[in-house]
Amino acid sequence: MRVILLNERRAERDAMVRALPQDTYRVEAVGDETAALAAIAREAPQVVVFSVPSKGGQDLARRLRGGENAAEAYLLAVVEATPVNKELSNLITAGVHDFMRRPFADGELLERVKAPERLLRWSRSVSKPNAFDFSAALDVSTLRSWRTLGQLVAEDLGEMAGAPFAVSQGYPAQLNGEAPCASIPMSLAGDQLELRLSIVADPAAAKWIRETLLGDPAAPETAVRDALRELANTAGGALKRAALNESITLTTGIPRDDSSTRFPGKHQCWSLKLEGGAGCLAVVGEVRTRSNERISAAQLSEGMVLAHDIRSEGGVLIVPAGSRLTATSANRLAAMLGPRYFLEVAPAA
Amino acid sequence: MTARVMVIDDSMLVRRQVSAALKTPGYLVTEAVDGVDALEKLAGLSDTKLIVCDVNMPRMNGIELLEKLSAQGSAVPVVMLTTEGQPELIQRARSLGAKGWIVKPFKPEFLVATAAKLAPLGA
Repeated sequence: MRVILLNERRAERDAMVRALPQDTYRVEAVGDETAALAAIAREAPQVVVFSVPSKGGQDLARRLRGGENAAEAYLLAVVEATPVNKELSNLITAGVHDFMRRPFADGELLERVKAPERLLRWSRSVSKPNAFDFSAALDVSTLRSWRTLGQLVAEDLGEMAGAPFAVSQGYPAQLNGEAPCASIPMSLAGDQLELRLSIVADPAAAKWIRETLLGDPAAPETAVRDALRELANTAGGALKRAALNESITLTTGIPRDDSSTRFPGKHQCWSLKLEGGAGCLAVVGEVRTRSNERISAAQLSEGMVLAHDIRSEGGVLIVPAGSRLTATSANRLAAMLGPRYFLEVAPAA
Repeated sequence: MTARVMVIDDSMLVRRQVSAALKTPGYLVTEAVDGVDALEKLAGLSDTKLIVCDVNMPRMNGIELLEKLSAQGSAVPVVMLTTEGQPELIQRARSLGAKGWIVKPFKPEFLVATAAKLAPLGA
């Protein structure tokens, strides 16, 4: 959690920094308003703690949360032991969420800064109708987004195609042979699950892709496969956004060509039929448990998924668990961490 | 007067759709397949007025490209066009200077309206 700390009193400011554990809070302490506004503009904070001046506290609060980056930030004001008339109500009107009176103990600051986290959990608990047990491995069949995958994908692909699809459960009978197929690998951040979402096209659908999506009836096979990869990417996005509404964060990899005949994992299928017999797409969702490997940072490569957070020595989060590495990020981490640093990753799909 | 837009996506289909949408009102479009390709091409195209960029791409993704552009002090506005919708990712892009975030599948008229706002033709 990023915290901006604005306090002109250096000794008090230093004590406040020490009161917030570095492994939980990324604190940027500043001594004046200009520096605070610059820090906010640089990276959005979750919390802004500021010392209220003897005059103009309300205006300062408005300016601090005036920019886009601090519009959603939690504002905590530090006031004197006996605030003057209406000062507190004016601060609240200006958008301050909470305040502390001087003198305060270090422990009080920590508890006050924890308040937005509690509010966030409370807000989630009242806004989500379902409860999830995170102590055990996730059973994706309990997720509404997974159960309704066919409909979700049909909606997004229908928007892309400019025509609705008729959705039914089961693998289309006409797709028993070889057919062009693309898939997208997905992972559940912080868990051992690997998902694969595949889109398969029958010959009529391949013709429809050429004529409608590509606008070229003579488009080569490579162009059809590229379009299928993008359909798989769009399908993955639909699942991902729906899962996020159920507090599940999925990460996706790069779509790739695949074989339509192999779905070895636990899977479910839908048939998406275009109007007027213009073809049929199959949507296949698979789940499997992945095994992590412990490797040297020098062995990091594109497509691997981090099994845990990577933090700096100061505790600052550099890359979160569940991140899927690109060649650039793999090279950067390898150079930064060095060959003697070992970490757990899920291998590239 | 026209304006150049760089479209960065590893999907040929998306590049083709975005290019078609932007060429209709009169934009010049240059395509790149990922962040590495885009950086190479941008170095030789100082007249680029807008970048439309995917997030998930091989070699260098859209967020990594934003970091590079930010470090270079680039003033070219960037709009992300992606299937991603994670608030943390959107916030990260915003803090790196991205001016917009459009979720795929996209409506061509919305993309053109965004382009007109950030890189007006005739400006």
